[in-house]
Amino acid sequence: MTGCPIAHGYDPLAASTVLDPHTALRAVRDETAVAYLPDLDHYIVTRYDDIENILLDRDSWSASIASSPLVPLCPAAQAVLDSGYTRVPTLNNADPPRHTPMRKAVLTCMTPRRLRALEPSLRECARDLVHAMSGHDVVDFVDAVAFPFPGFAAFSLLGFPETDTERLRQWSGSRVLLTYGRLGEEEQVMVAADIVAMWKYVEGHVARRVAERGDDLTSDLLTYADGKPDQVTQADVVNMVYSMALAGHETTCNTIGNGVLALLTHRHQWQAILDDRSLIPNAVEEILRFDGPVINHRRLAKVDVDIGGITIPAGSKVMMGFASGDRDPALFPSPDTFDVTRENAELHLEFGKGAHLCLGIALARMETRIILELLAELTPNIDLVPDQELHYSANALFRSLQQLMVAPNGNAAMEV
Amino acid sequence: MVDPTLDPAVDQARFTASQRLVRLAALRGTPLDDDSCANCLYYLEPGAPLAYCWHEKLQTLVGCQWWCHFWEMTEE
Repeated sequence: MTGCPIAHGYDPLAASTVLDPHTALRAVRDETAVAYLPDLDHYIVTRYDDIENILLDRDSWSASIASSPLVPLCPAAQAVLDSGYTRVPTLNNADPPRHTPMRKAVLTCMTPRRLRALEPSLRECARDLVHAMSGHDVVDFVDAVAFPFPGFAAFSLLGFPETDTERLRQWSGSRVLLTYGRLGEEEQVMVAADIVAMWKYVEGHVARRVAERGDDLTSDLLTYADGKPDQVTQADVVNMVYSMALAGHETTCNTIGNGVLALLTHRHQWQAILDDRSLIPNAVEEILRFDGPVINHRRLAKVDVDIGGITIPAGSKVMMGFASGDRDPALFPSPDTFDVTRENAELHLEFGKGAHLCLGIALARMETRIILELLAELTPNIDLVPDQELHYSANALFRSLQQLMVAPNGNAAMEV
Repeated sequence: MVDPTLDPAVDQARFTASQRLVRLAALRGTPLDDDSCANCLYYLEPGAPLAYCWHEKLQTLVGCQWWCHFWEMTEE
């Protein structure tokens, strides 16, 4: 740690930082490219170029800690996990050589072309949700649209019954908090039980698909595994489905919620979209850059690495501040300005880069675009309910809005 | 001898565009594991050492040993 600044003022789990991570990250970034967080025993890397280099350098950096608990679990919570949670590194937290066949299996079964073919059915689902929302004076947008739409997409793609959506949502929230939050011991034990329950659920789902295949990704992965038993096993499929059960909806839910908040807070930007719908694809990229779903992601140093003149020793845990890199003025002029016409918005870091590029990138972009198109078409006067207090999930990874109250037909219509 | 009538701004613009492409696609001159442009869906002339990439984000000449993170399986 010699020579490395200590980020005394930055705690990703402090209430003020959870509410507004960008201000806290800017303060660190303006001061240094790298800082050490003693309370979490992590370094944080703040600048775009350095984060990009980490993502692309598999020789120096391991993804193995990407899904590990940010703070050590208490023995009681660990005992709960040990009773039936047998996850091993598979996709986002795996390195070569294990990562290679896992990534290939998903790339084979979930091609961007196949995901794009889902657009008609997804659009129909989204239209129903937005139409239903428009019948209310005031509604929680997260509950009405931002969660159920990507939830439908991810869970139906994996073959989960629609009736299980709510418990999958609860379990997913528990996974986020146990892995990336800072819970008390009693809470840790409770959410650990949720994680074991979700793991058992996924094991059961895969076992049913072993017995009887369906028209879903789980079945396709099993069929792929049948053809390559030396590379992918049934246990690997359980791990992949478990990974995608969270990754498939959490980030897109956040993107849609954060995006609508950004657009309605910057009303002229929403008006720009209403005036010119062709701006929507770039608006999706700017939403991801400006207030994307992932605040920080993690890597482990495999060797000593120099960043900005500071040596990060081998074995160190590092947070890559995606939300900081996405507002790095070295790449994004006026980075705190939300501008749906920003020329280089798509260079954001939110999907990762290189070998660990998000496998659902085409689906996430499509879902967010569909929602913006339908909001512009069906609820152009949508507005935020004034003076509401925003709450985000208290974790260091996901920028997860818990509730967003909107007036789908505008506040003026509500007052009539 | 550099032709004095050439506009350096053109080179600068092309350089900037190529740098952006490299960044956007995580384009590199070596394969990733067993994957390379040669066995990617978007490599227009399989077997050729250089070929056009028709992925919407690239649309440029690439080498068969290159790789980018938009790599996709070829149709079975």
